[in-house]
Amino acid sequence: MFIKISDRNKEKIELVSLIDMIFILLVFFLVTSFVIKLNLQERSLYVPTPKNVLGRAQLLIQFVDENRIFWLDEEASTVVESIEENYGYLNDASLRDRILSNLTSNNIISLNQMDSKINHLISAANQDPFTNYFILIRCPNELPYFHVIDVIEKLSSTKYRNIKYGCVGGTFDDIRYCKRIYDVVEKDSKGNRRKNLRIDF
Amino acid sequence: MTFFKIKKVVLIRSVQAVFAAVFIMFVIRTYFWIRLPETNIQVSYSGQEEKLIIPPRPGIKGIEITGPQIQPLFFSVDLSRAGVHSLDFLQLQLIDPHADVKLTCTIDEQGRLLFLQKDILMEGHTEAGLMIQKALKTWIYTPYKQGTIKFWFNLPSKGRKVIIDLSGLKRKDSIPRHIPIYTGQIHLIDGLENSELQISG
Amino acid sequence: MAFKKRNNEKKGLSLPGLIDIIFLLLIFSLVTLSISQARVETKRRGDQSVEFPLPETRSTETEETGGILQTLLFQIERSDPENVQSPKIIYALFPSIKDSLNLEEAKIYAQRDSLFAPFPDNFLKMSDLAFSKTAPCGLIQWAIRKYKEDNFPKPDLANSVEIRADRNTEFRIVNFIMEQCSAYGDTIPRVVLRTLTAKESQNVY
Repeated sequence: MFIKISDRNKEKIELVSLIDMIFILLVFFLVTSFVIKLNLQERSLYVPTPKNVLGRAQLLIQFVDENRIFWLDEEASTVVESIEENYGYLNDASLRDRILSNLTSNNIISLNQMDSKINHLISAANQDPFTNYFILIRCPNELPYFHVIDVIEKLSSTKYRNIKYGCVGGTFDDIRYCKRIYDVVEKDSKGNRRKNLRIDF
Repeated sequence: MTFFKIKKVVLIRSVQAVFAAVFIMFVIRTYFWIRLPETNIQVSYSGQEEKLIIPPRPGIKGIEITGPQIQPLFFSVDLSRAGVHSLDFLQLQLIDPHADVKLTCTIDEQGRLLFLQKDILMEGHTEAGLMIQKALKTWIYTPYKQGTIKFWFNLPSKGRKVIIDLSGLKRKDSIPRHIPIYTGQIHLIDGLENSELQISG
Repeated sequence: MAFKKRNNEKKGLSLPGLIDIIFLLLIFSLVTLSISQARVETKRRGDQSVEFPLPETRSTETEETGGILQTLLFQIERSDPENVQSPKIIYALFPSIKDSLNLEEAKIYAQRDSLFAPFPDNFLKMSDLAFSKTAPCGLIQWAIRKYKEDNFPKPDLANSVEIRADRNTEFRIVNFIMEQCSAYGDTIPRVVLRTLTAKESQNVY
């Protein structure tokens, strides 16, 4: 049996050039990825200006000092409600002191604790794109403003950009020596009745 | 190699290289395109009028922190209590299709339905009256309202066979005013159609 | 069975392989050239020489700044960058009508026109009224009023004032600028804080 083998020159796969090609591609991707992980670039961060109205928010982050935050969220109104029920006979100033003493002991947290709470808030925001949050950040005059930027940075890592923020100047003493702190029932934008915590300066 | 063979090879390789280059560039471009934040790649269509939407701005005149939603309370038969029995209306109709029984009951602080013999009018319909009493004695309501509640079982009626009068009920003083109390299921009568029932007050 | 013996020629330099390599090198150079050109352009456009540390952020809500001044910018820096005790100076940098000034040029104009003022050492201890009467606060109020009258006829989201400050600048100064902007209601609804952000998502070409 004769098997005629064609006499053509079979094209061999050039292994050497293939290896070279792979190395070059590798170098190419390494270089481009290195180029992309770049220097710091100057960018613009938009922050809303304050307004001379009542400061409504879902959350208050008040800088007490560089390392401590006074955190007030919706749980605070429940605490105030129970104090108002039990100590309603006190005058406004005494009631305020009692409420603030309670809130101060439970709601002044470290920066690490704040990070953890912000992460919870962000997870909640990411699960519900239709709920909008507004965070009020109050910072004392003497604190460097990069502390505020740090908080803003943490708050802006949401999937649906449904956490908004604003920062104003103010100290913890403004709250500690406020005129009055109390619960008030109001309807929200969806018509639901809520028990809100109000602080009058 | 002859000149023509080189030419052929060069042609083939150049075509291959161009395809490879285009493909690689496309992959890289897609990779970075996907990583871009959404706002950078949104294209607004022309003709859309841009409304000025000012983002929320922080207020400085006091603080109001949004609290939890106020859940309304429902005044109804408390089905979670043990020993609550329903009244079989069809059975009642079989026993006495002309039953005419009136009960004036009191709901106490714990939500129990209380009545005395003098509060029951069941002349000539004793069996039906006893059956009704046996069931109503077991009913316990959620402790949000107190006062008198009247039941009228008027089986011969072609229209409403059961009339329940709630006008004698008042909300308990211990429940804060801002919490709304709605009326839920205030009877446990099986086999009673809606068209046969009237709830007033 | 007869096989034609293959001619075991000694192969010289394999030209197709070489051609492959040349083409790949060519593509590689073209692509990296375009990247480096983009980078140079970015450097020219966006990377200002940062003479003092801006606050850093990884926030995805930042936007790229251009090299050209687009709006009124307040630059707050130390009079002596080496000395952390040196007083802070604020410069009011106005953009040109043709939008052609970069930061360095605008600062030169500001120095020429005396649109700068140092903060007093004890500005943190001053009352709000006393602070608002200092020279730098007067400059801030004047600059915002003037720029607003000339450029912001009505409320618009695009109306903003920029703040470019050393990261350790006290919040009082930033807050004062924001308050002065808020005096005009929704006309200036936002301020822009210049930050340093890592360049991640960049078009390759």
